[in-house]
Order: sequence, then structure tokens, then C-alpha cells
Amino acid sequence: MVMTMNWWKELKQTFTYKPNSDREGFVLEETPEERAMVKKDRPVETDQAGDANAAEEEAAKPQPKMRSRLKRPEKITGRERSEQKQTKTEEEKKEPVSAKEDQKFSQKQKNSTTDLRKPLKMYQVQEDQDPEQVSPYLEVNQKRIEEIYDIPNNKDFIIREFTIAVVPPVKAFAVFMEGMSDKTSINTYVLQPLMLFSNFQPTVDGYLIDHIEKRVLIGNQVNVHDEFEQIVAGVNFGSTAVFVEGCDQALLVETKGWEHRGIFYPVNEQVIRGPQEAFSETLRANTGLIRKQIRSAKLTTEMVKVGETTHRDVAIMYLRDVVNPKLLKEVKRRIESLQVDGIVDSGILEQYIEERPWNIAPQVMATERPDRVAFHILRGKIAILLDGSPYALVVPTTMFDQLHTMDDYFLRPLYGTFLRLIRTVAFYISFLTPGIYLAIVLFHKEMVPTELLLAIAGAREKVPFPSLVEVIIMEVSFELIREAGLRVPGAVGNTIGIVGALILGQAAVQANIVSPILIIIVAVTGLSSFAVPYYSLQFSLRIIRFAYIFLGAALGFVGIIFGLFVQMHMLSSLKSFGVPYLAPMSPTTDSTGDVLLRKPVFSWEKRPDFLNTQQERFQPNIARGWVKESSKRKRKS
Amino acid sequence: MIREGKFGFAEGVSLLLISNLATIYLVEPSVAIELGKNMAWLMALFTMAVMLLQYWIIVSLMKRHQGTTIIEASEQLVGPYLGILCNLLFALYFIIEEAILIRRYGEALLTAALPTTPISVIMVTLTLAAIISCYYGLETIARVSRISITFILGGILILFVAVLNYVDVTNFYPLWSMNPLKIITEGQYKLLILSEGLLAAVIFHSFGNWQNCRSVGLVAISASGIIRTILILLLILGLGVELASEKVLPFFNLSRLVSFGRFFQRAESVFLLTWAMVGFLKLSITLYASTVILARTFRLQDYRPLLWAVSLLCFSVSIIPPDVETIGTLNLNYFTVWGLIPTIVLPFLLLVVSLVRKRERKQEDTSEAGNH
Amino acid sequence: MKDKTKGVKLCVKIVCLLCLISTSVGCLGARETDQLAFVLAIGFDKAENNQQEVTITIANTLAFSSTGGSGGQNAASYETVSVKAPSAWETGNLFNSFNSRELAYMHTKVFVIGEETAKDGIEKYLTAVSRFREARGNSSLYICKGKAKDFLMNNKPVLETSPAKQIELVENTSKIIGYFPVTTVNNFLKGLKDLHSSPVAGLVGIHKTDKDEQVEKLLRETTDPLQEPYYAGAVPRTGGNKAEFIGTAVFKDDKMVGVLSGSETRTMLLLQGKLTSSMYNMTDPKHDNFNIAINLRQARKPEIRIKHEADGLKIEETVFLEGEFVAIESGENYEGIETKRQLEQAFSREVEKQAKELIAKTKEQNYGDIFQYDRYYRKELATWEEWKNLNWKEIYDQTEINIICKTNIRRPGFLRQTLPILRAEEK
Repeated sequence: MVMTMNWWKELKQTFTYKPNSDREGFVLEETPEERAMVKKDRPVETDQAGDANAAEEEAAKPQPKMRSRLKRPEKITGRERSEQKQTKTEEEKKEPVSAKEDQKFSQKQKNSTTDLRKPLKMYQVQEDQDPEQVSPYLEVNQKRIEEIYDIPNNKDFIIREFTIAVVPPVKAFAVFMEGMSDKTSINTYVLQPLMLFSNFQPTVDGYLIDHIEKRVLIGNQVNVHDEFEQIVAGVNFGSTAVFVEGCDQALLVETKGWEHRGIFYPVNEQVIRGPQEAFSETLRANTGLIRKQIRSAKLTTEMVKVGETTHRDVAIMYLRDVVNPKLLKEVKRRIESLQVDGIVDSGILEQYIEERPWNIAPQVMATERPDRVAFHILRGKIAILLDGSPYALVVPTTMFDQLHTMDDYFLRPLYGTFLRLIRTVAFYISFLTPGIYLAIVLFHKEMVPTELLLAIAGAREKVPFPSLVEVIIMEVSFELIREAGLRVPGAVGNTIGIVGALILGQAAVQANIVSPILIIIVAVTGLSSFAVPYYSLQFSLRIIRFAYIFLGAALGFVGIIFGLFVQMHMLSSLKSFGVPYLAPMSPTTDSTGDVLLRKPVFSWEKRPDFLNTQQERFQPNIARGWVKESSKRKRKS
Repeated sequence: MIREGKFGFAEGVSLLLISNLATIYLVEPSVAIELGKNMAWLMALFTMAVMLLQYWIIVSLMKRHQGTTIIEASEQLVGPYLGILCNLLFALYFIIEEAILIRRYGEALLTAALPTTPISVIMVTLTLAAIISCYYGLETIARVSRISITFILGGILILFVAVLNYVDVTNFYPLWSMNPLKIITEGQYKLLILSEGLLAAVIFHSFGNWQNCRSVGLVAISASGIIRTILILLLILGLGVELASEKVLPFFNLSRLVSFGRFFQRAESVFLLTWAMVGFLKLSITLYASTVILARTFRLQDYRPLLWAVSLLCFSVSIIPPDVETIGTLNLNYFTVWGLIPTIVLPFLLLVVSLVRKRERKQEDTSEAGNH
Repeated sequence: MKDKTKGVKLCVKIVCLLCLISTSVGCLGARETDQLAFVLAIGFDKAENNQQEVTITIANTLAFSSTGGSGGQNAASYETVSVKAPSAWETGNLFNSFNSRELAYMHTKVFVIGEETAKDGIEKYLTAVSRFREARGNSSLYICKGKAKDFLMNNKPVLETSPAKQIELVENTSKIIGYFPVTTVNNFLKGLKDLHSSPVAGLVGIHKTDKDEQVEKLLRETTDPLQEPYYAGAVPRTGGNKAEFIGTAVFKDDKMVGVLSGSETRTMLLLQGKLTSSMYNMTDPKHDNFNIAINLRQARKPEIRIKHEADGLKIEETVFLEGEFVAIESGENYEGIETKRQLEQAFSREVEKQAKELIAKTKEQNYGDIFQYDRYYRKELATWEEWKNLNWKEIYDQTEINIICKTNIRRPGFLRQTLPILRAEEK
């Protein structure tokens, strides 16, 4: 009894629609009338929710206030102070540091600045030195570095000792990571200046570290740090740290440079017409590709670090004057709240930020095409790029976005519409056909023309299995071919799909294991599922197909309708970052006619209504300036 | 409070339209033709007019009680005891409608598509679908209606166009076949479908405002009235009065006529897809209405816990009648007749009470003002 | 630990659920195609001793499979069997005493009813058909001259693999020639239940190999090429499939009362407005020993006017024919405007004459209205009661029916005119 109750609970949970405002983040008004309504009685409902959200938001990230509060009381005298500030701002710009680090940093700065100038004895140093702080003694620093990186066991990190050619000569060492740093830049921008060019002006004026930074090092990014944590972070990302005898600070010279893939053709989202470049694994190159498409100062890229161990950058890109601020807040809230050790790919990031992991439909769209990302950003969506992942995530997304390709937009409206209609057919075929075949063969035989039915029956005559088993055998082997074709190494992979399908199909028919008509059905289904452009959506359809097979075999068309009914409910209740998954269709909102058909480009006057963007208009009513008068009907408002 | 969500014009129209269309797939058109003979189509228009009138009554009632639903309104108007009684009547109406519809749709699906399947399996499927749908909530039901209305209307349109081939215009005559008054007194009142007004009043919150509610209802009822009229007209013209009044599932029989050439014949199963969908949706809407009335009456936080109880009740009630005839008779001779009380009499009385109360209050106000 | 037990429980639940599903599949009314025998045609006959004899044609699905190699293609594509029982529906049970599969009627294309049975009334069969879910209302209905059993047993389509396709294609020829009406069960029932006029059904039969006296007589008497006095089973021919589709069975209520020949059927269809097209042959009005062939189709629906006059009801029907020349044997210049008009008028008179003869025949033989004029008479009525109690047959018998034929030969074919051969003896 208890067990059944539990079972019910679980079942209930699967189907329960629990409006969890925390999860959904925010609710978008869906229809113009409703928005008008909401505006009217604003204080009643939505604003409260908004306020609550805002309050939560404040509570969740008190960083900016804290940071500013903590920085003010810094006491650094003279020249040093201004320079330090400068470097700090620079540093902030480059890599926004999380609050904790910042806090520590400033606190320790206070400590260090006070006891900076007192000369210490070696034993004192060893006892009193804060291990997080750079020591003025070179050996201490070296020991500390060796401790941090486990040198010499850890072969990736290299310590190069040398002498700086000033008068008197000063000992120093450089630390860098093999593989992430560029050898030539280390040689020419770090070692050469320090060991050779430093004697151009051998007398040191003021502090040594300033002298080196200002006059010796010729790299374009040189920072001064006095904390190991930051130095280590820099070294881990390819910079070279230089420790100098007698200085309780270290120099971090930017020498990033690693082997990476260049920009290549899109592999999984090919188009005939349109740009032929895809994202690669370098974040900066990827953001650059998007910027190349949108050359606007309004395009903002925010960086968030994710992963306690991996420290990966996540870029959030959006058009500042277009994007819905609530949406932006929500996206940032979700990403910043992540407490994970490491995120290796945007696929994992996607799973961390989507609302309903158990719903079959993908709620985030991943794409490898910069033009697609740019297109969606223009419409008011937000792109999330993870460093090291060649896929950008676009949120929010609807099912129709996932069914569109860039070809639809790049081709003329009629062609685009044709493509979309084909794809619509493919969409339905890809999950319904085997189920409908079973329903017809088992329950609704009268539907098939007599001759065809007799042919089907004749072919089935020698097959020993029931139709259901037959379909499942074929579907499973098709999935096997698909999976194996993907996993088989190298050049064999391409052929195994075709060969496997052909040979297996032919042999299965000859061996009377399946009937020939079924081969056609499975093949058409497979083809159609490949015509669905978004890989995750393909997956969902492939899985649902099996459900329809069972339903069709159990209850015929009634079962199929039952399945459609439940599936429709699952999809319509779904939200992707507050936007209903089937958005322009249900709930019906104003759209640019960009759902099933594709209107001509000059009709895209509005941004999608369901995004509630700051600027509703995409282009004026007469986008083509050379057309004197608009032939369009005048719309309301 | 129960969170129901909101929907716009298109979803609202689809919801009410589907709810109203549900009976055209069952025996009703046949009964209408048997009653009205050649004038049945006119009677369908008459039904539409009555439905519009009733909807108007309900909307004008709800206009006076904006921000509430008919459940709260009735308690405000006639006091807690009478109000609860009234609400229980509403709930009972929807529960019985649900029970009858589960059985009738189950029998229809069995007759049309699954002749050897046990009736209980089909009914469990239908009930399960309704429960699942209600768990997702009204907003989702409305959205699903919006999606499926495209296919449903498409199916109806295709059928209508395909059947045009079989139309014999002379079947239209004799023009004035019966005395209209006689038809109405004899039983046209049995064919009025008035639950949509009450439904709209129950989910009044979700329409946003009463203007929206009014326009949604009027559009939905007119559309369904027109579809019903065309269907009856096509039945008369395509099958003839006598044959059409013999049928159990006239819509299904009409779809059996359809054939395009030698290949596309016997496609009634395709149309089955559309009307099964309507059945599923109608059942979930009705189950939702009955549950939510109970939940609101007893001031529950959520209606979902009640779903199991209510659906079990409906299912058990629906399995009781021994055969199709019994359920048909129960429906036509008792349910539709007594159903007029909660759907039209009670709302009208409530409206009257509301009007009187308002006048009283006004008088009180004026007298108070005079006193001061 | 707790998680583990939970996981195990979940697995158990899922397995249970899957078992439940798998047991429910297959016992919910699904029927595999190899469990069924598809009945393509059914024949009803009356046997001696008040017994019914039912003949069915079952498709042999093996013959329709294109692959799978051995055995299949050589087998006969269908099989015809018959059983006798006191009730026609009882025979269905008896079939399964020697038939391995459940009979499925969802693809039954044709119902054939023997002449004797038809004379006793066929409504009981038809209502059963329309009640039964599997049987189709749009299956064809034919009355067989002779026994339906003989027809189904001897019907061996030459060009088609199955009788179902044969029937479908044969019905197509009705649209081209018009010598037999295509009647579906639905149509027949509509005529039977909705109207007061006499329903008709197509006539089929089996070619008799021995020379029939009647056929001989018909052959001797027939001189007018416009007349086609044959009916199913009596077409003078050699070779081919034995089944014949020509003529009409006339019913009064649901009992068969008479038979119409090929050309009479054509005239009937023409007056009903259901004739699609036909090839008309007539004697050349100017040259007695030459014929003219014209391919005509019904240009539009006939116009029917119903007049109440002092001497009773009058029905005036105008039919419109249009088409093109196929052959002018005499070479007379009928392509010219004036000559063509003369020919058209002569032809129209012929058609009118035929129609009049047919109408006279129906009245004389007491067939009742086979042209469904009562459909148009409905407009004259006000209430349903009047229509319900109408004694149409009596009215029809007393009504004077006028047929006007308007023919228009629009195209001469490929020849503008026929020039005479330069004959030697004429010089």
C-alpha cells in the first residue's frame, strides 16, 4: 500500500504542473490585451512577484556593494596608490573576480602594506609570512610556487631562474606553464627584456618592480600582483609570472598562446546559402565572430567565471537596448548561482540552467553558427558561450526556433516557406509513422486501399513475428546503425551507416524477419528525423517514437491521439526562461509570421512579442526605403 | 488561492469552441434531424440563438462580480448556505456531464474504431487523459486547445468539402416541414447545449476581463452554431432525412462517405483522429470545471488533490448504465432537461438577485445620503 | 542505502509497468493481418427448403506479395466458396468450419444478390450491411441474373488480380458507356428510404455458352443501332471473362420487379442526370444503310419543370447532350452548320422517342417512377407529413411526362469534311 502510494506520488510528480516562481524566474505577459491589463492593475500581481524577485536578486549577489565598501579604506601612499588602482581597474575589466577573492585581496593588502617596509629576518619571514602573499625573499616565493604546483613532480610548470641586468644585478625567476603559453612571446617579451634590455638603463629609479614594469617589460599586458591566488590563476591561463628578489610583488606578463583549432566550416548545421564559418573552442574568437556580425557598441559581453576547479569563462552576450532586463537578470542569476566543480562543455552548462530536466523537449538551443546567434541576439535573445565549447547556447528558445534553419531566412520567402513545410511534414513523420503504421495494420485496416492492404498482408504472411515485434526489431536495429555509424572510428564510419542499412534491410526481408513495407517505413522515419535540424529535438522525437509505437499497437488511433494529447500538454506547459515553449502559436502572440510560413524580410516589423523586448520594433513599417508607399494594411498601434 | 493562469482571446475561443463542438460527433445531430426533419438546420440556428442569450445572461451576471467567479458570486448573492447549495449543484452538473460523456465517448470510440476492445479500457484511457490534462492546469488545457483547434477545424473543413460531392439539393425540400413551436415543445429543448456559459463563469478569472470573456464566448458559440448548422444541413442533403435519423454516429457515417478516387477511400479513421481529440479535450475541461468548483466552494488551496476523487466518482457513475441505449436515454430525457436548471435557471435567478440587491443598495445609499 | 532501495523499487515498478503494458498489447482488439481472411465479394442466394446460400470470394494474400520468393505468385489470387444455412448470417459461422481465418469484411467491394432473392425483397440484407461496422456503405450492390453463386464462381477477371480491382475498374466503364448504373448500398438505401420512387440496381450476369432462344430473338429483332436490347447474361459474344455487367434491375420498394436493357439503362441514366458520357449510334437520316457514331456527354444537369395544369400534373424535362463525331459512314457533309443542325435535331427526336418508350414501359409494366422525379416534386410540398403520405406512384402513373432533348455536336473530330473517293463507275 505504502509502495503504491509512493508510486503514485512519483507518478504525480512527473505530471504535476507546479508553478514554481523561483524556478521559472519570471512570468512574461503573453498577449497584448493581457499586458494592457497588467499595466492597469500592476500593483496587484506581477509587480509583487517582480519585487520579490528583485529582493531575492539583491540578497543573492551583494557583491558590488561589498566590493566598493571594502576598497575604499585602502591606504597606499604616493605614486603607488594611483598605480595600484590603475592596475586594479584594468584587472577588473579583464577578469571580473568573484567577491570572496576580492574581499580577501583587499583585506590582505591592508596587512601587507603596513608591514611592507620593515626588513625581516629569514626566520621571521618563514614564520610570519602569510603563505598567500608574495614574499620579498625569492627563495620563499620559489618554495611556495614549488609547493603550489608540486614541482618537480608536475612537469607542466617550469621555473626559469635568471638575473636581471640592472645595477646591482637582481636575481629573479619566471614561472610559466608549458602548453598554455607561447614560447616565443616568453623569450622575446619576458626573458630577452629582463636579461638583455634591462641594462640599457641599469640604474633603478624608485621601486624596482615599477621600474621593471614601466621600462623593461615590453609585453602589452603586464600586471603587478602580490597574492599567489591571482598569480596562480594567471599562470594557469598561460601567463608568465616573474618574481624578483626583494620585491613582495610579482609581475604577471600575458603570454597566452596554445594550440587551437582555427575557424572551420559548420559541421552539424550546414547551409547552402550563407556564411560558412563556425565557432571554435576559443571563447575570444567566438565572441569576435558574433561581434563581426553585430558591430554595435550596444552589444554587451558579460563574463562570469564558472567552476570551482576549472575556472572557465562564460560569456553572456546580448543587445543592451533590446533585451528584456528581467530575462537578462534571470539568465545571470542562474549562471552565477552555479556551484559546481567544473563544467566541461556547454552541453553540461545547458543541463544546469534548464528548468525541467525530465521534460522530453530541449529548452535551450545550442548552435555552432555565429550568424544564427547574431540573428537571435538581434531579435532580443541572449547567447551564452562557454570557453572551450564550440557551441553557443541561445535562450529563450521555442520549438519553432529549433525547427528553423538559417537557410529559411537566407533564401527567398517562397523557398524558405517550402523548406519549412517540408520540415513540418518531416517533424510529424519522424515520430508518428511507425505508430500509425501499427495502428492501421492492427486496427484500421480499412484505411489502406485494398490492393495495398493485400500486398502488405501478403508480405507479412511469411513473417513469424507480430507486427509490434517486427517494428521494434527494425527500429532498434536502425538506432543501432545510427549509433554505430557515429562511433565507428575513422573512414569506416561514413560507410557503415549506408552499408549496414542496405545489407541489413535486404537480408532481413529475404530472411522473412520483416516485411518490405516496414523497411520503407523505418527508412522514411529515419530520413525525416534527420531532416529535423536541431539535434536535441531529433533525440526527443526518436524517443517519443517508441511511445507511439506502443500506443498505436495497444489502442490504434485512439492510443495515438492519447499520446498526442499528453505530449501536447507536456510541451505547452513547458517554459524556456519564462517563454512558453510553443510560443507564437500557443499562447497566440503577435509574431512576424515566422512560424510555419516565412514572411518576406520587409515584413519583419516587430520582434517576437513573447520576448517582451525593450524595443518592440525591428524595422519601420516601410523597411525598403525605395518603395514609396507601404502596400501593407495599416495595423493597429 | 487556486492559481489558474491566464489566456488570451485565441485560446479562450478554442477552449469554448471545442467544449461546444463535442456533441456534434455523437448522436445529437441524428436526434435533431429526427425531431426537426428538414428543418433541423433551422433548429440548430435556434439552439445557437438560445445559447447566445444564455451566455449573455451569464456574462451580465459576471460583469457585476468582476474579480470573482460564479462560485464566490453566488455565495455573495444568496448567502453561504444557499450559495454552497447552488455551487454544489453546479459541480453536480459537471460531474454528471463528465460521467455521461466518458461513457458516450467510450462507446462511440468502441463502435467506430475498436470493436473488440473492452469498454473499460477505453474509458480508463479517457479518464486518465482527463486527469493528466487537469494536472497541468487550465492554462495548459487552453493552449492545447489552441494547438488542436487547427487540426480539428481542418478536419471538419475537409470533411465538409469532401461531402459536397454527395449532396443532393432536392433533399432540402419540403422547406417548412414541421410546426416550429411543436418541435420546440416536443424536445428541441433537449438539444440545447448550455454548459459553456457556466464553464466560462467558472473560469472567469482566466479571461482577464469581462469584455474578453464576452467576446470569446460569443465568437465560440456562433462558430460552433454555424458548424453544427452546416453539419446538419450536409447530413440532410447528403444522407437524406430518413437515413440520417437512423444513425448512431452521424458524423462518423458522413465521414465514411468520403472518397477521393480509388486510392483515398474509407478515411473515416483519419477523421476519428480529430473527433477523438475533441473528446479528450472536452472530458478534461469538464473534469477541470467540476473539480475546481468543488475546490473553490470548500476554499481549498489547490484543486489537484480532488482530481482523483472526482474522476473516480465520474468513472464509477459512468460504468453503471448497462448499455448504450440507457445512457442515451438518460442523457436526452433526464440530464439535458434537468441540466437546464443549473445552466440557465440558476444564473438567471442569480442575475435577478444581483439586480435587486444593487437597487436595494442604491436605495440604501440614497436614503443614507438623505439622512446625512 | 536508502537511495539504493529506492532505486530498486523504482526499477521494480518500471518492470511491472512494462509487463502490464506488454500483456495489454495484443488482447485489446488488435488483429494481425495474417489472422484474417479478407472477403472481397459476397453473394446472397435463396436455396431450396427455405435455406440461404451465401457465396464469398476471399483474397489469397500470398499471391499479392512481391517478394519472399517461392510459392506465392503461382497461387490463385482468390478463392470462392459457398455455404448453405437457414440464415444468411449463420453462414458466417459455418465458413469457419473449413476456413482457417477470421473473416474480415472491411474490404468487401461488392454485394451480389441473386434474382430470386431480390424478388423476395433485399432490405434485410442491406440494413444489416449498414448496421455492421466492418461492412462498407459505399460497396457496390448488384443484382445477378440467375444465381449470385454462379456469378462469383465463374467470374474470373482476366486483366486484374482480384475481383475487387475488377469491380472498381468495371464501374469506371459505366461512366464511359452508361449501359449499367453503379449503385452502392448507400445509394440504394437512400432511394429506398428517402424517396417514393423505385430504386434501381445494376444488373450483372454470367454469359451462357449455349445459344439462348431469347438472345436469338433479340438478335433477329434488333435493327436500330440506337437500341441495345441486351442485358447481363445475354450479350452475343465469344471469349473473355464470363461475367457481364449490363442492364438494370428495377425494384418496387425492396422487391425486384423487372429488368431494363442496356440502352434503356442509358436513357434512364440520361433522364436521371447521371449519365456521364456514352457513344450513340444512329442510322444516317439520309442514307438508310449507313450509320453515324457520336460520342456524347451530358452537358449539364437536366432541367425539370413540374406544372400543375387543368388536366393534371405535367413534368417537362430537358436534357442536354454535347459531344463530337466519331464516325460518319456515309461521308455526308454533316460537319456543315445547317446539316449538322438537321442531324442534331433528328438525333434528338430519336432520343426523345426512346425516352418516351421507356416511360411508357415503366407505366405499362407498373414499375413506378425509376427516374426519381419525386425529388423535384418535393418543392411542391409544404410539410413533412404531406411528403410522408404522398402516393407518388399513383401520381406518376397519371402524369404526362415530356422529354425534350437538346443535342449539340461541338467538334467534328480531326476531319473537317469527308470527300468522296474517286470511284471508277461513277464516271
